[in-house]
Amino acid sequence: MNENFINIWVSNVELGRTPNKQDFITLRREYGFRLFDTANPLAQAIMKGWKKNSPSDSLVISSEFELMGRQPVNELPGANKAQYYLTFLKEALAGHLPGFGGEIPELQPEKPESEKVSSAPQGQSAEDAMNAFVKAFKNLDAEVMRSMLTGHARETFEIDAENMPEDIRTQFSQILRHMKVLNSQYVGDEFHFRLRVPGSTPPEVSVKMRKMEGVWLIYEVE
Amino acid sequence: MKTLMIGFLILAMMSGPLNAAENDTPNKKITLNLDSRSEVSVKGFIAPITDTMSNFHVTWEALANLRAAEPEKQHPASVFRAFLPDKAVLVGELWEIEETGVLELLRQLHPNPNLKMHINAGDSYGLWACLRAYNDTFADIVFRIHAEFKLENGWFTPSQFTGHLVIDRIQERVAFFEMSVPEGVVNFDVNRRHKNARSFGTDMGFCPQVELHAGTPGVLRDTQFAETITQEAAERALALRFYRSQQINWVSLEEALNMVQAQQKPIHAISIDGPLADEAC
Repeated sequence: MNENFINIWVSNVELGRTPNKQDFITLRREYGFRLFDTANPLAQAIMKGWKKNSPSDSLVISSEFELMGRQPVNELPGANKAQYYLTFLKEALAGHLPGFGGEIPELQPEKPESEKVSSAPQGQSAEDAMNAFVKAFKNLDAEVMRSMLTGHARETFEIDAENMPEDIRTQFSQILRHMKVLNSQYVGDEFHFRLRVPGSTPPEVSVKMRKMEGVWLIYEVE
Repeated sequence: MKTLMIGFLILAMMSGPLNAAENDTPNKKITLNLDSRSEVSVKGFIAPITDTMSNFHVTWEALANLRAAEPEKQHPASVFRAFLPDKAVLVGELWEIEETGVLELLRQLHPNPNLKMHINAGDSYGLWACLRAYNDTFADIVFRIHAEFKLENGWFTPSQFTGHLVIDRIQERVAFFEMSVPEGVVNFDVNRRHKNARSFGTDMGFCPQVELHAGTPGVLRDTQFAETITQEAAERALALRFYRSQQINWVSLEEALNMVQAQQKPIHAISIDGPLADEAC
């Protein structure tokens, strides 16, 4: 490894891989933690190489910062991991683009698709779903909020953020930045949480989620 | 504590000329000992957790209220013998720390410490120490310990406990002790068992201070050691005792950017939630 590669590991948190990581790293930055510049070509290549919903990826990247191979951690076999990994590295160096199916993805730096769909992926914890909803609420991201509702709830609720004038949206967003999760708990098979929403009447909102086909979805907001 | 501080000041004043005469001392094995009759006043801190990824520090009472069990405690010096090697050692040499004394110290932070690590991929367990430096008066032991606390309904697992134990070799006393969870983007991992659920919810975050200390760090700053390795070398040697992955020369993203121009080698990158070489993952 030392002979053939320059080896690095980078934190998904520092790269803001998911919405809750973006929130977290914003707070850490506010507390003075020095972070690396994610605009540099190596960080960009890493972000471009991420597989959606994968918690950890190994990547081989050329000295010109082109992706050469990807191995998501959850796709490693149960046995002979070391041999499998060695084969992955050799395949990458041979130019076979392992893990990409012959096609290198395009990076969407403003709003990577992997983040957008992470609002309600399979296997996401209730807390992650709650945080994704809060993030979408703060950003008045109606599309993401709607994707987190059950079918019935979508018919019932009106999310009136889409046609909001930009200046009003900005004002609301600034107020909603101060929104907080007051408490959360599992109630049987469900997950309930309460939010303090500045400017709303009443100021506290109760949200209830249940898991449907492996995904936490919101069925009630009151 | 007052006795310890006075002894400390006198030794700090004396250490300059003593050390100047010792610079030519060849690297040799030294024996470390502590007078078990003395006591050490240790202060313990756990600061309120500032951030977690999934808000567990807000929604989980046990984590929200995590504080040092005993902010100050008198420990017999014998507790610190756990950190000493049972034979003479050279600078840079490593040895295992005994569990009993470490558990006693960790109980000052939380009543339920655990060294066996409830999640262990084979490289999580360990308590290791390294003689980083010495002169005729002081010896600096650097250590790394993996430990966690059993909370109500879950676990709080810091990235690592690391620090220094400085021994006054003449008086055979603890001159300085510090054991803390270092800074990092994240520096702990938590697993929380939900009501009526078999599975755990996971989160990770940052706690600005989880620490035990005794004495003042000036002894480290002001002492000129006769034989020494760098702090970084000691930390790397310790990390290698835990993780085979540390045999790889990992560099930072910034270093990689500089190296790639000169070496024209491909980059092997791992993008991972927590740090690669500690337990906050």
